[in-house]
Amino acid sequence: MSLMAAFALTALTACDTVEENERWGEKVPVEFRKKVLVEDFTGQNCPNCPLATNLLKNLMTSPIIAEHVIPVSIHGGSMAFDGEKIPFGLATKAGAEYNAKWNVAAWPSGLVDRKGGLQEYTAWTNSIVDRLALTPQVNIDIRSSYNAETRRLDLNVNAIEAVAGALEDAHLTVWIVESGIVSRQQLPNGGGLDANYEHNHVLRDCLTELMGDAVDALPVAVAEDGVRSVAWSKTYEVPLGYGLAAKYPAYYCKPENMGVVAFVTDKDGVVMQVEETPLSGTEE
Amino acid sequence: MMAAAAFGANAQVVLTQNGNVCSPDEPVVIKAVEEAIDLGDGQYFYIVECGMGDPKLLNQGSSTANIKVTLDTEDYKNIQWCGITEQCMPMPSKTEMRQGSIAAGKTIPIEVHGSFAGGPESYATYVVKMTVETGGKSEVYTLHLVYDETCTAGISHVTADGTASHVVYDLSGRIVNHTVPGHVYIRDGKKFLQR
Repeated sequence: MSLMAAFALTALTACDTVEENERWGEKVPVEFRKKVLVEDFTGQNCPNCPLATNLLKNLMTSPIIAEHVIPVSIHGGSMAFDGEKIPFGLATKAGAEYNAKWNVAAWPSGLVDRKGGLQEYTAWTNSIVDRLALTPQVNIDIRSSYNAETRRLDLNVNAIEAVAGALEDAHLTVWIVESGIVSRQQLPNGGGLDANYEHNHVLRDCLTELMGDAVDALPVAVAEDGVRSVAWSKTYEVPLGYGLAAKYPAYYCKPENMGVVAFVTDKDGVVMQVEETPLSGTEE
Repeated sequence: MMAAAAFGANAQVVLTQNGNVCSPDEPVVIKAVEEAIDLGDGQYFYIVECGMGDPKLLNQGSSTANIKVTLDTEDYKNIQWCGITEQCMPMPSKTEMRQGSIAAGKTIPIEVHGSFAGGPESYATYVVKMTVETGGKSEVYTLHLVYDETCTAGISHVTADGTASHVVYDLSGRIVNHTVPGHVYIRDGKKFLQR
């Protein structure tokens, strides 16, 4: 791990000493920290792409990084298998649109909080460390409830200003992701094909406009202390499978491995905050 | 401008394939294979893979070699390049150059892949001129990216003149000379859907 990353981990884990008779007292409010979105543009036919995935996997062995970095694998472009044509393909219409939007022409490439443009994966660590050090301007609360019988997902996402005015001209994007997908992947360094590679945090669907729904159009609430928040809600039916996979049970998606990622971007399109939760929500 | 001297077999950096040093006088053949994916309902989905016998650049020397590799091909629209640097991209133009380095005693795959996914009409050989420059010297290799059915299931039929071929049957067991897209046939004991 680089020196910068190690420094960031130290800074994030620093804490005060608590006297023994002061422990187990009042519940301490959760302190929101900046979380970082990493969009990993990848493809099953891209031998070098696991290099980027492995970099993220290694970073995520740190509990602090794992808690504050949210990677999403976006399959699309010429190195990906189109899920509309190939049942085990992981590229979606949204993935293809994001590849086109960011003019991705080489894989792997990535965006870290959509700050600084597309980067080769070797640059991600330093960018992640820089973004983790920021104070969050916005916080996100996701309430997710999934009914396995009806496959209905009820979602409520609240974006709350941590700094007054932070939500002006902001956009909220909500994604469905899935992990634990065992499928094909070309491996680096002449490794050839791995037919049972585990793909994680794969973008399955976008529930908002591609670049997010305008926060200004969402219902606003103002708390007594003047803190503004906006609420977004949607009911979504989780399909049996995405694209052609819907016709082949072997390639059905697994709701127990799926989750919701929501992030808010500022007027310049930079990610201010990101949050994720399993489809069935988290226990309080 | 004087041409850079060629490498020779004892050069610091050589091209190898299957452990053998490649000669610039002979085409280096990279085969594409067709793989049948059983979807479980009697239908097969065919994927065309490339890279069988993927050549590698080997640094035979005792120090790191900085290399510059240039591909030149009229078939660039059917070529993807994933080697030398750690990014894959379709060749955007006829000529592309990448720079990298190879540690002493190590190899780096060139990862030049051809796309034959357009079906039999795209099974022509793609010819790529690859120039490798290092230490003031250069070598030019000719790569032939070919689609080769024998990479999949082996030879099942030999014709009267001794050449090998694959016989295609319809589901009634009759030999088929011309396949029709959208129909299922049998070759080498496996069903396939003609795309």
